[in-house]
Amino acid sequence: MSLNARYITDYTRSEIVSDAGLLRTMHEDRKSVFIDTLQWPLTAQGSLEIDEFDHADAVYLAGKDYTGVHRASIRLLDTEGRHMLADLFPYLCEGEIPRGPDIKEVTRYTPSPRAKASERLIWRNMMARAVIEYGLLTGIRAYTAVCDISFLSQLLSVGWRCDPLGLPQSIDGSAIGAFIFYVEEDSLSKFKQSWRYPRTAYSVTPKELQHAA
Amino acid sequence: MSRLSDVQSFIDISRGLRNPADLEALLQSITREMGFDHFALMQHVDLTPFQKELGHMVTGQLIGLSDYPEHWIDQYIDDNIVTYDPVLLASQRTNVGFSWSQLDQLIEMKRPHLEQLERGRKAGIGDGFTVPSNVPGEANGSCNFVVRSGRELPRKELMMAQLVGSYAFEAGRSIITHAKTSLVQKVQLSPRQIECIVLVGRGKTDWEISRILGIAESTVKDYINDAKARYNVVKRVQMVIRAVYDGHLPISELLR
Repeated sequence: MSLNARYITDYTRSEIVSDAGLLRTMHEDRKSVFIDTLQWPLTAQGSLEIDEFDHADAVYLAGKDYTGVHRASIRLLDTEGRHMLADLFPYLCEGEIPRGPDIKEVTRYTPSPRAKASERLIWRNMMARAVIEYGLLTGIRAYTAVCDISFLSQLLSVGWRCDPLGLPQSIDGSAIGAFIFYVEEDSLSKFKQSWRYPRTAYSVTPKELQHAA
Repeated sequence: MSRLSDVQSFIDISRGLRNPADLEALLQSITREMGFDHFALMQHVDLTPFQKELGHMVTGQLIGLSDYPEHWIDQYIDDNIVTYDPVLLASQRTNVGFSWSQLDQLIEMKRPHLEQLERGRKAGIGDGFTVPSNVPGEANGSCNFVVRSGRELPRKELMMAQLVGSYAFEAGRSIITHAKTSLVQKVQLSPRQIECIVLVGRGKTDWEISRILGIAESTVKDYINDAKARYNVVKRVQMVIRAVYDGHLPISELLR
């Protein structure tokens, strides 16, 4: 299982749309995780989960295996535009909703159920590292996230600075809360041992090569 | 002050703590503030290293802080209640806080479980709210907030307790991570070895595992014998349990 050559990179909506294999498998994995397993009240489009926030301004951080199949992804939304905390869950935020060019909302963290658990853990760690690396490289100061409380322990266990934006609420039988976590120079050094990935996880290069080809 | 700012100041103070006694005092005060009487922050592991003076946290052995009545803590550890406490069993089944009145929705309550709750009540532990902290790759744990027997849970404060419990566990984890010396070494297993253990846990024989993984049966035996040796156990089932307990594989992996 060589993961050495793997990386996570950023895609605009139009870029990910032009990578048909990644696009399809990502939306399939999202259906499998959020609708089939977690049973969130989302609507499937056939075998895919796609919603109104998969719009032209969405950015994805995604990793794929050597055959081009989705392995892990998140979706980043502009907090100055339409995003979930402002449009769907404003009541989860007690004060003003954090917005700005340097704050992005993280949604739909999707580890691929196609991968074995041991491999998913590696991708999880790559993704956590990539989120910070991407933030440091592109001037993001913080990420907001609407988070199912069942995921909170994991979110906190990474080691990064993470604060609640309001008290959690019960919605459709599950508890959901809004959180903000910060991108700081020392974020990666604060990562707990079990979350560490020993190499750079985020890379822009492969996409540039792809464009040049 | 709003409940959120109470939580935020708890988080801000707890974040930098290195001394377990400080976290204990902080938790004790916010526990009362929320309308509970006692708390127990713990990993669901063998609690025998627990010491009143918190040496087990100073050395990074395990997370365990509580202001339960002393005789109950002693009894809890001496009788090894951690292995059949229905609250902890239920806590492995969810990652969201639950009150103890909902226990029967999470696990089948058998006679020993009911007896255990009754013993707790006699010792002064009434109703409770448990915030699980189950993170893949780590020992399971929870933060429990309880009221004395005969008192009602502070229902309005449960969402606050959910946040405080999650952050408290993280603070406990930070303290022991920081303190951890080479005293506790997790057993090292290779990825191949873990694959074999998963398949053992799914009931496969060595021959079946060798077919599935495309390796020789003797290699499978070697991997498994080596893992058993590393855990100092003789039976395969013990090895599987240890590997789950260690966090080498999530239990969900065995149920596929």
